[in-house]
Amino acid sequence: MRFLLTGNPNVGKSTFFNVMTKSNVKVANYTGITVERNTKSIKGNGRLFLVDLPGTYSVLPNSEDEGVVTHALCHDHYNGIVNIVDSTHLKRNLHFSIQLLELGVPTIIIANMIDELKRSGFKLDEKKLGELLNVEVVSMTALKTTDKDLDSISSILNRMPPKKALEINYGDVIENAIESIKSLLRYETLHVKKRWLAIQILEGNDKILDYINLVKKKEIMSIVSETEKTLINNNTALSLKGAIYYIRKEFISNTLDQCLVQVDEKNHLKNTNKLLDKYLTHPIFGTMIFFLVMILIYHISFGSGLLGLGNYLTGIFEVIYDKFLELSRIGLDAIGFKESEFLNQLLVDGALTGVGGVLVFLPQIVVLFILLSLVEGTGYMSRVAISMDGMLAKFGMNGKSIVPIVTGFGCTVPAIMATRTISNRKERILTILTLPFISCAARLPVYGFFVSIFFEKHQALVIFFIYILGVVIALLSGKIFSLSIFSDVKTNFAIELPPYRLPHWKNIISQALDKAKGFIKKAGTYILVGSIAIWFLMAVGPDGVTDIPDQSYLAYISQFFSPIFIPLGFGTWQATSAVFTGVLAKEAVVSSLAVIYGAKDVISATFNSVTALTFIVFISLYTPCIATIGTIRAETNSRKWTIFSIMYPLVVAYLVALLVKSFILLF
Amino acid sequence: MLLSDLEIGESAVISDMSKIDKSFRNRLMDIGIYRGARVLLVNKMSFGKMLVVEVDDVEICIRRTDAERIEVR
Ligand SMILES: Nc1nc2c(ncn2[C@@H]2O[C@H](COP(=O)(O)OP(=O)(O)O)[C@@H](O)[C@H]2O)c(=O)[nH]1
Ligand SMILES: [Mg+2]
Repeated sequence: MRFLLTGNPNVGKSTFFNVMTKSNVKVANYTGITVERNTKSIKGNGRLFLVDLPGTYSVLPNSEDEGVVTHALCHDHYNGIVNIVDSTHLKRNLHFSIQLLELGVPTIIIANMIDELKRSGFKLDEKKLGELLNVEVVSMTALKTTDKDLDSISSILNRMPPKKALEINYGDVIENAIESIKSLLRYETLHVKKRWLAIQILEGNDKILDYINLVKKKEIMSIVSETEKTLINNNTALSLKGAIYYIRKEFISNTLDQCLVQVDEKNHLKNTNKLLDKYLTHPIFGTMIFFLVMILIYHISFGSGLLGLGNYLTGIFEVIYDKFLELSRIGLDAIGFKESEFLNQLLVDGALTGVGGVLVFLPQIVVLFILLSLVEGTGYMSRVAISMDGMLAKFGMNGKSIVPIVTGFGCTVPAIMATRTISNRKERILTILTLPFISCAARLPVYGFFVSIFFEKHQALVIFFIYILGVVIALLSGKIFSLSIFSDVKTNFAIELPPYRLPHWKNIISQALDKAKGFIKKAGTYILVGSIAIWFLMAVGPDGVTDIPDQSYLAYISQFFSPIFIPLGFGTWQATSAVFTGVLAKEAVVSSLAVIYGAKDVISATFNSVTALTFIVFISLYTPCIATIGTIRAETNSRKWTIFSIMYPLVVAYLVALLVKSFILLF
Repeated sequence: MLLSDLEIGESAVISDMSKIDKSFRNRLMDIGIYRGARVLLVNKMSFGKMLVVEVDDVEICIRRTDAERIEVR
């Protein structure tokens, strides 16, 4: 049986999902229309599945989910809905619950954060709330669930009775409109209640109109605008949505009056801590603190030296992996695939080396994600978003873009996913298109490799320059987009301030493990295939298997394109191949160069300090890797923007590299 | 009076939001800022460019420029 897990953002949905499914029995990642959804079975009950939907304030597709919730409700097969609400913010949370209850689908409401409600001196009569809404309400503290809680929820899910839809009377004008729309919808095949569809359409859920017959769409639209006009003329509300909202609000306060009791005379717990907020959101101190935090995170994940935990672990991984490669070579040899033979080399030098080159970065990435989610878990990022809003607004983004940008220093893929919190679609696409310019961790090996050969004395300075260049190009691109393609985008900003909370270890670890799993899966699938292909192209030429790289297919193919790079100073087939492989994964630039050239002194003979700098500038900015392109495709759901995200950085990288080269040559 | 004219600790009722464009108005409504709501100005941040208001026990941060388009009584 499948249950859709829904709720407002930040109510503990993920926490609940993790507790309920902690054994990770089955992970099926499948891509919905726009956003990836997780389906997992409940611990100890392989028959019950939870489908994790994005957190939203409303079923209406005006915000982050872009209609995913509407789509799921109308088209998915599910046996019921699990609606998580934050008990301390029921007045707002119940708006969404009502939209769900109007569906008439078996539903359970989980009243979460009971611990915080208690601390603020209130008590929720969940029985009464259940009676008034005609739904089962279970109160809980997701952070402290016991196995007993799990069992009782599982057993409720197992025997959820069919449910009558909640019917609120919206007053004559709206009720009449609902009836007319319902009769127009009579023959529609969508498997949800017509009354629900009608209400949603009146509220402004355009997504539903996409699902129905065009001819009717027109008639329905005219009913909607007529009704809205009447309501505005009656002075009931500014809009239809507003009118419906007020009636629900009335219903909610009546309901809560009967089941929310104040047991303790306490001041309402403030989410904000005035003093902390004052410094953390201060335009100067806040920005300085933020940069310090970032440098610390970056240092622990990628830096060398005392604090360089990630780097240290990756070093260990490299040693282990080298041993593993050696053993595989010998092992394969022992079972009959001779070391000098094609198959042995294909497996070890091609497949395993390629995959390993990526896998060794696993510790750094896990460390980075743990640190980032630690910071995110405290509520700090909302404050950073506030202090950076003014600055980012000048570049067509808003304060919330800082979260993806920060994530982008680790990996562009989760950074792009993190843009889901930006509600305006165009603004979100603008941010997505600029993110690949932020240097991800995968590009660091490339910089390190060249810098150690050509800029031994100024290593840190050159790498710092490359990072700043990336940020500057990202911001400038944002500016250019906001002045041209997206000139009609008005950035807006409204963010709910979560209380400061202590991050929760269990959550952080399980999140990091999830990231690690995804990363390993990626390495084991297309990076594996890609590595084999590259190795194969280098070992085979028009004349068959060859030991001379110049006569391999790779050389022939790359030679065709290499003249393009002559103006930049690295128009060789070797460098061109590296540029190509970098699209598979940025780290591949280094591994390809090492394989192609064999030794570092050969490289210092073909590159010089100017071409080396030009090369890393180009690599830091050009076309994003395949994983990023795939994510951009999935998140924008647009072929046009995907192609743009491939071509635009290529052009920019070329021009900037040319500029840098000419600039240096002036001196 | 405008929402942005409130002093810290002062509260008022939102009387008009029509100067805010529809999609952002809907978004504000979803997170809890609507006409008729009683708002309390909790804090000003970023040299007063950002305002934290409390509505129905939820604390929300908006830009001063948006608050200047919200009429309160
Ligand atoms: N005090 C308290 N905090 C909780 C509870 N459940 C979740 N949280 C915290 O609420 C925040 C948001 O939780 P999360 O699961 O990410 O919410 P989501 O956005 O709905 O997925 C996190 O900081 C959690 O640690 C609870 O029952 N009590
Ligand atoms: Mg979450």
